[in-house]
Amino acid sequence: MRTARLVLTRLAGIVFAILVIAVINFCLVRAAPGDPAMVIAGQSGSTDEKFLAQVRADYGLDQPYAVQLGTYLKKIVTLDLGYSFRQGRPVSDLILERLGPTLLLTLSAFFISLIGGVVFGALAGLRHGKITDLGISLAALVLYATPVFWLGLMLVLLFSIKLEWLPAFGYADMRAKTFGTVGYALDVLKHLILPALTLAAIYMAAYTRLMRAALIEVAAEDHVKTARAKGLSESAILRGHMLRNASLPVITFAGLQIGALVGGAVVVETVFSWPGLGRLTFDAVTARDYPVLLGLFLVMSILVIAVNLLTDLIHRLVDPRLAVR
Amino acid sequence: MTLLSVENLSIRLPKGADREHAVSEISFDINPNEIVCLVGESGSGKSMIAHAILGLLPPKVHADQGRLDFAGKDLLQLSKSETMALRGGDIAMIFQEPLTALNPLKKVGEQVGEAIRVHQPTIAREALTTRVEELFTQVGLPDPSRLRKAFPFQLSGGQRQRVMIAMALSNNPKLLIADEPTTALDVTTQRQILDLIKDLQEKRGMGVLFITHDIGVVADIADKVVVLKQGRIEEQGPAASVLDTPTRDYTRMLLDAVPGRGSVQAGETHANPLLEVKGLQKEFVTRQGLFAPPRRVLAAGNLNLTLREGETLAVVGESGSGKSTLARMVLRLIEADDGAILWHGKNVRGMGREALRQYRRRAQIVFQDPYASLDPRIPIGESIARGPMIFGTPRAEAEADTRQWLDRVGLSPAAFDRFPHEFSGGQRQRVCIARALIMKPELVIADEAVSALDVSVQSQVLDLLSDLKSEMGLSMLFITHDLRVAREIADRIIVMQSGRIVEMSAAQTLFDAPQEDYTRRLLDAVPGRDFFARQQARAAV
Amino acid sequence: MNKTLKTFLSRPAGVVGLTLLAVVCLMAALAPVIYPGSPWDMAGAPFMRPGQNHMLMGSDTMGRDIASGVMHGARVSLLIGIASTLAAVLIGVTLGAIAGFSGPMVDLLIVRATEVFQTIPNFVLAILLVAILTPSIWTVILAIGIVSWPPLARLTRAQVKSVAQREFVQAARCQGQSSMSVLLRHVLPNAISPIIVTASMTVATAILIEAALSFMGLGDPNFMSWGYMVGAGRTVIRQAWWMSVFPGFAILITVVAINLVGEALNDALNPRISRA
Repeated sequence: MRTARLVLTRLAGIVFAILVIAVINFCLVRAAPGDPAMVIAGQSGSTDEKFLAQVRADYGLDQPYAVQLGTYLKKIVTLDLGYSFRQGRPVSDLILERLGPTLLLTLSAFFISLIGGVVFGALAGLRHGKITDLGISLAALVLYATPVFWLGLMLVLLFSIKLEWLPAFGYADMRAKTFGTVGYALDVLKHLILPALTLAAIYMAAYTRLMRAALIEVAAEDHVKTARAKGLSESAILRGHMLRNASLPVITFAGLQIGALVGGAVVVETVFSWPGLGRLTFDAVTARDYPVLLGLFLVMSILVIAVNLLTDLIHRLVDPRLAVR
Repeated sequence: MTLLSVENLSIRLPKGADREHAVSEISFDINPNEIVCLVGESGSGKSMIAHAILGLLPPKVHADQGRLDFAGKDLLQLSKSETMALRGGDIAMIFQEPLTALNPLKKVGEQVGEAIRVHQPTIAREALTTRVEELFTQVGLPDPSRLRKAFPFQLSGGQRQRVMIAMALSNNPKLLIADEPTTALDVTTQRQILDLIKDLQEKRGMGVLFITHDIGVVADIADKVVVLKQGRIEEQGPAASVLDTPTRDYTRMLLDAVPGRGSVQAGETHANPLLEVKGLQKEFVTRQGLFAPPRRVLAAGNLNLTLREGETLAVVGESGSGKSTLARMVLRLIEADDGAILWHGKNVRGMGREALRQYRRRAQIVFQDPYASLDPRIPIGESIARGPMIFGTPRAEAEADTRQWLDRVGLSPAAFDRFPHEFSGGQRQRVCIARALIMKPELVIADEAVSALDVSVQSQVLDLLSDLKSEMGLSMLFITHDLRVAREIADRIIVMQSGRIVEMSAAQTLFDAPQEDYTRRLLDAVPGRDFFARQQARAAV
Repeated sequence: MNKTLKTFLSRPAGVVGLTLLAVVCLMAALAPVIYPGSPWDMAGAPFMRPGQNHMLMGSDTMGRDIASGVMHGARVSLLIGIASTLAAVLIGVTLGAIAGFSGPMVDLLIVRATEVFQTIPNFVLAILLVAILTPSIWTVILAIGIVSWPPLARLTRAQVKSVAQREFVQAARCQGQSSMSVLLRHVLPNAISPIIVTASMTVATAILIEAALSFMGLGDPNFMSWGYMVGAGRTVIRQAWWMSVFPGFAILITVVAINLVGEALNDALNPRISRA
């Protein structure tokens, strides 16, 4: 019963979110200067009248706005995200083939940043006021202020150009298909290191700061004193009574940050020519391919909401108070 | 044979604190099978002593003099591992707030089990479970096999404190330190926990160091009393002698300041009704989510009461009884769901904005927390003077008035320009009283107005209130959780429980012949009741 | 107020942050004096290394002076950072205050909408907005404002709700003060500190978003900006590191400065710390 209610609440939330995103898309197209049909067709300058006419009929652009919105929503429900005139392919196909690399990049960055943030933050919090804390806090402060694209370039400069340790661009070597499955995977991994680290570093900085503050706060809580009064050793107190409690706000925050992480992935993929949704975004921006952009925004948002559900689940596992309610 | 001997202990505070030492030159003994009560008001340093025994002093605070002799060893000189072996082993401790003292993310059974396992690392899992359930039974927790799997937030306050006690007892300590263990609990729960501690102490022959601010609690359980004032011992000795024949003024003052002794206020009046509450109804509904069934809490179920001119009516109840909601509904700070509130016969719930403003001028409120009820960014004089100015008094006149009122509530008129954080709790409460009374109200609602204050300050503020009341012919609606305070000040008393009125009678009747079972339980739970009754009887002879 | 200033200046973060920020502001102010010409003009041969040809930070692929671009870029970053934060504050504080004061239905609606805006990938939305509305300094400000308001709205709502519950606010109502006067004299002054702090931090993220937008080629083509410079240098990083390094470093310094100031402000405005 409780689970059913939870699922129902979640589903309603997702439907509401998708509705809001669709409405944003819809309004944007109408707010754009010029003919909405041109925006939907993704054209500027040269025009193909026949295609435009088809778009107008398809999206019912001569109808009142309410009907137009209904038409648009219906299209979304049937997974019709429009057609990229420039690429000559349906938007959904374009997005689908780029989904894998983006998931690989963002998920690895997510876990690296979360684990790194918790570890470094805990370390700094434990050594509160000592030199370790100072070093970690300073590094976090600087990383937190670093533009992600610039960090990527600097890492390329160092590890690819100066040291020649890692490949600078791309997803895999051109010849990688001939390496065999394991060889191919290793090659992708080699290409993944720099972009994943770049993307993870910024968020790791944020989580480190948060974890540090949370640990310092938890350390002052009464139940830690109770644990001490029981005769537990400091390391047992840390493991049993502080780490889990302090990582709760970090997990909550990380869940909220998934959207930003995906946004960061757009920039990182651009820097590293990583063939994911982000790179597709950059190409669509350069080509002013609006249907692709609109579709990307929708799909990425849904992706984020899905991952959010996942973090919510993790949260429920860690915090019994949520699980029971 | 002495269990713990505190010799000449001083605890140094870090620089910048209000004094150099938290406590100075403290000496007392605790024997096996005896309860020693350390009693003092806030700031007396009583908790510091407890923390020093277990080596739990906050960073930068340390004992710079003295010995803590326990089983032939000085606790202040122990190595880290020796201290750890002692904590939760021979010496165990329970704390004031059981909710925060338990880890919110761990099952309570695990937390108790952990305490056992630290000191008996080889214990088998089944034996551990059995032992935990045994302890739960000993401290009176129902259904131990189910309850040990619960998380702290699923238990009531009293159950949580029982879990804490079970944890403390898990390795059969010789000495139990209890730091204000009942202060955060309702009075009936407090009584149960006190009885439990006393009972366990006798059964096990433990020594107990019990820290409290409430001399009533001391009278109930202490074998020996140590009275602390500002970090120094005022007086110590067997409970009977210290309480019955105190040698120091401070001890006498503490005893005299306990409210609710002496004769009650002069009973009933037949003056005109000032405020009538009829069929008042309020239910709080909180929604967890869109599809979750809303949680409903009854705050007021068909409340009926009448307050006559010049009368003081106390509303007494435990937390969650709806007494504060009642106060706020009378002023329409919270809107009731149904029913009527009549002010001189006019319905308050139907008042428009201007009528409500005029009404609130006549019905003022003093809140519980003197730290939250003054705007921290505004000088207190300004906070007081603003009231009359809103109703058209010129600034100069309002300010002069304010200075007079500051004087009248026992503060210097020069306090006008100072900010709330410069005052103590009791002084702030005086400011709040001035802010209410400068409006020349007919009714003052005191919502737990003295609950946050030390007992000596509490009695001063109560005196001030009753003086001003008779001087100005005020009526008062006095909300409190403390029957003793109600008895001190009220003509009539209403007892509330879970949003309903349980009993309503004249103060004298309520104390002498309570009608309802719940009222009797409340009365029985009042700490120190027997002692003060004896004392009174003796005084009468 | 004096005490606030004192606490602020007693923090190393405050002093360092303020100094760095002053340097950036000075750069913005002096840009037209030291480099009177447009930063888009050719100043010498392309691909000059730093120091060569009297160009402190070298030149880019078109022979434009990097140093001039960095100075002029400070103007754009600060302008957009501040203007878009103001937009975000306007949207966020208004919505948050409405949610905090209104009944449960309005509150729920605003809360849910804020949550959605906070979960969606805000940078992608910013890209979409600027791309469709055509890049200009105004659409960039608007876009950043639209994606930056949710944290401010959440915070304002929480603050208003908690302060309005405080007993001194209820006491003011009982004194007969009007709702407007209660709101202006008691609620806002006591609720505003963390909002100021968050707003100051928002300037930093706004500058980062602006840089990323220009890096993607979505900046105003009439204004030289740091993000654009890094983007332009990206493809030639093997040959000319200086084209990306200096403007990126400028962004880093500016954002660090603002975050430090925000942290010190947080300490200074927190009554528990400054009045203790």
